[in-house]
Amino acid sequence: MVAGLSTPDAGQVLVDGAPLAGDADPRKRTIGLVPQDLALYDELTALENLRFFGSLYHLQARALRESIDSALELVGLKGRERDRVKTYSGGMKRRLNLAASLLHDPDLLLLDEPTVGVDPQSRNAIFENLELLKRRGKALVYTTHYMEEAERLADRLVVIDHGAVVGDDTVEGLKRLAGPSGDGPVTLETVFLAMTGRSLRD
Amino acid sequence: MSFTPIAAMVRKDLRLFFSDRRAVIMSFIVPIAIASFFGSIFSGSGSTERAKIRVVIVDEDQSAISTGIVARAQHDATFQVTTPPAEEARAAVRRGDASAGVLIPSGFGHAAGRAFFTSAGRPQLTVWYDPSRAMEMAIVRGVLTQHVMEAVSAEVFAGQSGQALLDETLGQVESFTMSDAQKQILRDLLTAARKLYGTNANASGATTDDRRPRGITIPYTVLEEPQTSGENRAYNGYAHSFAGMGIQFLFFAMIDLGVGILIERERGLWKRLRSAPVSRLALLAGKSFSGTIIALMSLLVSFAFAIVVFKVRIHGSVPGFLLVAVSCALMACTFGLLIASLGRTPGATRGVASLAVLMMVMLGGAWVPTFVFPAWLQRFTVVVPARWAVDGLDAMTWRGLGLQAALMPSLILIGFAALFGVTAYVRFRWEE
Repeated sequence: MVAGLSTPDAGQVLVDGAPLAGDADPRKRTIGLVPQDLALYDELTALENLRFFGSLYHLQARALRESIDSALELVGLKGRERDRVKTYSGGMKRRLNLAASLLHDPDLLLLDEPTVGVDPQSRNAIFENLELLKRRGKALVYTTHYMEEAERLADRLVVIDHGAVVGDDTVEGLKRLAGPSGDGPVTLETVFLAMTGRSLRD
Repeated sequence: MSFTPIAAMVRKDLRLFFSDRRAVIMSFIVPIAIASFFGSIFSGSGSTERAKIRVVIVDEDQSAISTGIVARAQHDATFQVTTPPAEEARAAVRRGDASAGVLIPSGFGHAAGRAFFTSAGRPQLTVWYDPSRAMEMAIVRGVLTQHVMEAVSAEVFAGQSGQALLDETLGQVESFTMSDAQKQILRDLLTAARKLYGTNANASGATTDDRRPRGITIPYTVLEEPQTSGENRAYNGYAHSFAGMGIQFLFFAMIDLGVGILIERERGLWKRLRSAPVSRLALLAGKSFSGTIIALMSLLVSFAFAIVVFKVRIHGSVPGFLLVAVSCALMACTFGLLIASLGRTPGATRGVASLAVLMMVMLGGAWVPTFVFPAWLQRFTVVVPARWAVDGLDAMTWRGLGLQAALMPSLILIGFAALFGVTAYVRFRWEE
């Protein structure tokens, strides 16, 4: 909804205090989306992918080149930009997926499970990128099922179960809310299970 | 609407298209190969010998009339005649080795001669035919009628058994159910025919063919004038086959466009596209431009090949040809968008869309001429865009018609493009 992919049943999304005026509203440039899928063209090179996605945000010429360089530098793919994406490993694709969302330098980055299926090294690299963005003042909205990721990155956690918010606080606040654990130390995982139950999900 | 994202989408789609070897082969090489094949069949250039219709004739009569029929059929350039026994003849038709078989039963000649004047007791010719060759059967029927009429009349008026037939008929005239005046006329006719025997018997210095009794012949000859773009311009069948196949594969290329959009959606790419500050119209416009460019290239490359290799010429208006080609490309491209808007999964959509395209090009006359269709189906083809595309291209190439003849097909194709485009926009699944 924030990225404009679906229409809210109720309420509205405000950007800088006002709702978006349609799909082409220039304020959408303040929002970046990292989809869960590897939303890349395998047959094109990384450079061609980034040129295309940058152009969607009206970046041209020097501004486009600089933002591509910067994004490639950040995700550690400099030197491999002329290779076709289909020759990349899963981790490299994930990093390129992130880079494609950073070209227009968004203030708000929406990340939908961006580390699914990647090796530990790539996951760590992605996290270092995200922590750097966080330090640069970017707001990150990060969706994950990995509690250690949430614990490492999040200032504020929202636990959603079956479409309803069942917890909304800092990591420490949620741990306090869940109370002491009888079997051992309170972790975010035990908090999560306490809030959502132990029955298996579809 | 900013053109930067649109231009980027066009560049990206063209890069993707040319990086896909299968798509390039299907869009440029396959249509040329198939159109060349169809063109060589339907070229009508006269350089290749026309295939004869294989007919088997069983003559159980062995009379002068039946042997006359067989001889005439064997001399006919339309037929390739063999005369096997009856069972073998039937089996040949059943196997498809012959298009038709004719059984001339015993007594046919005598009965046919008598029925020539009175129409009473007409004998029966049995014709076995291959139901999958109905068009050939119509030709066989027509040519056979001519030969039977010639053979019977020749024998009646000039053959050896004719005099006996005439004498017999003359003796029966009184019993015929006709007026006295008519009976008298018939007597005069038969008496005059008897006199012919004497003159035929005395004929000398004639060739074998001339000595054969002629009988009734078709009382006219036909001057066939093909109406092409000019008096001395022969019909070039490649022009039509490249139009038909060009349109067919242009549609196939645009199925790829539509299915490509569905694949992009499956891979999450549309989430990225939709999250960018680009309007829905711009997204579809980008796809439309790239699709139209690819479709136009496919069509023009095919025709360029036909022009260079098969000497196809745009005898009509070149601007008219380009107008029809652009209209075709635009219509096919919006058809691709329509597929993307109505389809769910790439696999299923490709199957259904291919079926729709095959139906459309078949009804449009790209494979076989539309005159073989029933009348209601011929009327229905006006709602098939492929028909207007083929008609428009034919008009500008071998028919040699002017720009005005391009306007109607182009307007109709643009109308279809508008219909497909608006429907695609409305039905497109914008929510991710």
